[in-house]
Amino acid sequence: MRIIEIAPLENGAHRNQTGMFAEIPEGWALIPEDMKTPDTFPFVDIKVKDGIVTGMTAGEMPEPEPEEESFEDLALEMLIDLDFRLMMLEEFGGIEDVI
Amino acid sequence: MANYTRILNLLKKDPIADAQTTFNIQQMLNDNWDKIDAFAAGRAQIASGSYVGTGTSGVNNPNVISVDFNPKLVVVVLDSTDTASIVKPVGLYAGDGSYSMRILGGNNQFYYNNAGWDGDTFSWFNGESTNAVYNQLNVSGKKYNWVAVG
Repeated sequence: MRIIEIAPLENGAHRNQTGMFAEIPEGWALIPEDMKTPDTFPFVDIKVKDGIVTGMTAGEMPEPEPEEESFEDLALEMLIDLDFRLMMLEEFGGIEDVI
Repeated sequence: MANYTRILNLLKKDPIADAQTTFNIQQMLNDNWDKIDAFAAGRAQIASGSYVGTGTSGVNNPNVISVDFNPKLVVVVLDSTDTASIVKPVGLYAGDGSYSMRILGGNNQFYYNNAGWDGDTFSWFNGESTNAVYNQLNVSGKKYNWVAVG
């Protein structure tokens, strides 16, 4: 069972849940099993009648959030920087010019 | 002659020996229902589900999941089929009265979310100014799975 909050959030997305629910919470609606969801989900425009979603179209998506830099990315950046400094040291000598 | 079931001690009548016995609603039905009800109340409750992140965070945009019992444990994980994300954070609420959900990030650090149960909904939010969406487990379009035990 999939349900969606009828009112969108400030960015246009709709809270949603999949699971077994004893009852549909107030302010939410049931998405029929056979209803296709657009790729933009949960950024969608919906039509609701009697607690059931009767229509769903793609909504406007905000600019993508910047990806969080992972530990692996940070380590790679440090290695590249170190490698560059070592190369400069080998090329020109004089540690005071490099660091 | 009547006997009793092994686990719940429910009364069973013998269809032949007790054939002439008057049907006693209290003894033959209600007492049994009470035993079943007491048994069910003592068992652990489990709920599970998933949601797709909305890209929002903070006190005005908490994550909400429908849980109709007070959970002692809630675990939230990024869906395992999400191969695009190297970092797969895990959220853990231990129901220890601190009202905090701990999010273990990919850098092995914990991020704390305010969390609580209001009677039929469990919710949590991250109030930090940076990476709050990640640390609230609510990146837009990402699927998260959860399980709650009470």
